[in-house]
Amino acid sequence: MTTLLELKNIECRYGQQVAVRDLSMHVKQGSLVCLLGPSGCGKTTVLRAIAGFEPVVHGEIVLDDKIISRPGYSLAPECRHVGMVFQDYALFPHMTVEANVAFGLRGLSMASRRDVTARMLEIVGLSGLGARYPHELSGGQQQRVALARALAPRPTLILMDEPFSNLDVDMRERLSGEVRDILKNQGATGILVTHDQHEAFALGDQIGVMHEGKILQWDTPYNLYHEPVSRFVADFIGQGIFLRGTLLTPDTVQTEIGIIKGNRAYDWPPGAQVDLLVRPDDIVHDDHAPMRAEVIHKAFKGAEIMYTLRLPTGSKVFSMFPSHHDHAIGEKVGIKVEADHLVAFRA
Amino acid sequence: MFNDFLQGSSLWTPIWLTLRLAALTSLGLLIVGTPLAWWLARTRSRLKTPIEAIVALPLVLPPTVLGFYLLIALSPQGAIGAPWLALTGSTLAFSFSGLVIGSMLYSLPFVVQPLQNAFEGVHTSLLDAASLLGAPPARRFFSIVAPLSVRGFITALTLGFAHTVGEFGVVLMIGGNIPGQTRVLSIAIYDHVESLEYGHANVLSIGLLVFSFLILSLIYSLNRRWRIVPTANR
Repeated sequence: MTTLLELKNIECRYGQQVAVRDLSMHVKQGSLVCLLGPSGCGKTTVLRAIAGFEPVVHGEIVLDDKIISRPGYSLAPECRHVGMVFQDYALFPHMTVEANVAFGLRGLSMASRRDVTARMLEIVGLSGLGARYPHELSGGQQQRVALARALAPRPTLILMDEPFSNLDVDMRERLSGEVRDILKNQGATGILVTHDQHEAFALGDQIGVMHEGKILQWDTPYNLYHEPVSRFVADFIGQGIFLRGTLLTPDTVQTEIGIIKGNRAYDWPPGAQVDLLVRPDDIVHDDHAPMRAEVIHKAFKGAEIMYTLRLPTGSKVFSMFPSHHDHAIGEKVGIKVEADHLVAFRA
Repeated sequence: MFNDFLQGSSLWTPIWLTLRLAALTSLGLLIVGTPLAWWLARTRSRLKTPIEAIVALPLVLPPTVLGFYLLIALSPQGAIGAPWLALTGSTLAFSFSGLVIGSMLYSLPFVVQPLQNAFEGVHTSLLDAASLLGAPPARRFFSIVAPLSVRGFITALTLGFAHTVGEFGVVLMIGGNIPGQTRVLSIAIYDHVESLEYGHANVLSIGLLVFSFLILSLIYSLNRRWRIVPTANR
């Protein structure tokens, strides 16, 4: 696969404030990537820079082998062939659904505009609603119109800015899966920006975790969860806590829940103090285990229950038990450690 | 004698002149005020505040102050009057053209402010979406901004027209009282009162009163009821 979009060391500013610093990334033709991070991390600025709404003060953006942004130059958004789905959908309220979708189809004959519009509405599952106005549609339907409108002119690249954040949770999950299928079927290349990791996991082949204007880790969802490269990523992705421990050998750590051996070696000296990441799935329920912990909080999740447990030493850990393992708060339960991914940071 | 007045030119000439002045002024303000209001609605420039204040000045200044400086600027030696004289061979002060210029300044806030309000109500993301769909600035304005601002345009035009019809002080300062040239309704009324022709003054005054009332009723009812754009999703 060839590289479609490349950001080379870009920097964006609002006045004196640096929003994005020295950021580089590649997006391959046909891939779907996500920029994931807390609000204010600069992810939306990156998207707006790619769209041509924000200038870069350093570095360059190359799309389809053409420089579209560099300091002092920015190709106008209308010339970039980039589509975008906005957080508020930005549907034109005075136009019908059909007119919205057809807006970007200039230079086609009336008949082919109508054909393309009808096909796009069919792809997003809104056939027959073309004559409606946006305010007559539900949030999810408006979202689909926004997607159809952005895809209709066959953009080189499609950008999505928190596209599901205005939908309720059920709709969000269903639609993010559907959107992924639609984009993949169209062979579209897309960048999604979100603060919601589940959305990012559902859509992205690759995810870049952003913090303070930088990409901290660019990886698959699996690796972000199991092999975070920094404390911030470990903390931001998934749930978990850090337990203080002592490095015994490069791949074993002595902790209050025993000696944990992992699949990777650290080159810190033995005896070094480390913080070990413990995920809920690293702690499993075992009634016969000698190690006991007290239930201090529980959250029912359907198939599982997420327990917050207090160890005899006073530290807290999370653990996911199967749903029928129902324990009362204050009860002591047996636990054991089943961790093969050792993730530790120097204390 | 009163019947002569009702049919004669001393009644109809000022009315016709006033309508012509108001129509030309609103049209001119539409052309000048639209880009100005658009700029004010979108700019992040530091000049925004001073320019907004300048646009609003006619709301608080006595018309005599505006009229006084206009008189100086429009005089044959003035900043506007002199080049106009060189260009057209006629003077601006005490002429109909001069009145149009004066009225445009005097009614500027009544056109710019409703337009600016309307433009500010158009979400930036709509314009961003349109530009990514390939629409250059002119298409963005005419297919997105203008239709979404129809009520602003109607309010601006109506207020600009009505306010020009009701103008007195500025006309008195820069126009004088030349029948068919600068003797607009408000001046004619003043003139009739000065000549103790209260009946004549009354006819014109009632006309203006009813006209102004109708115009304002129209604007308020438009603003309340008429929605070209459903606002449910905004």
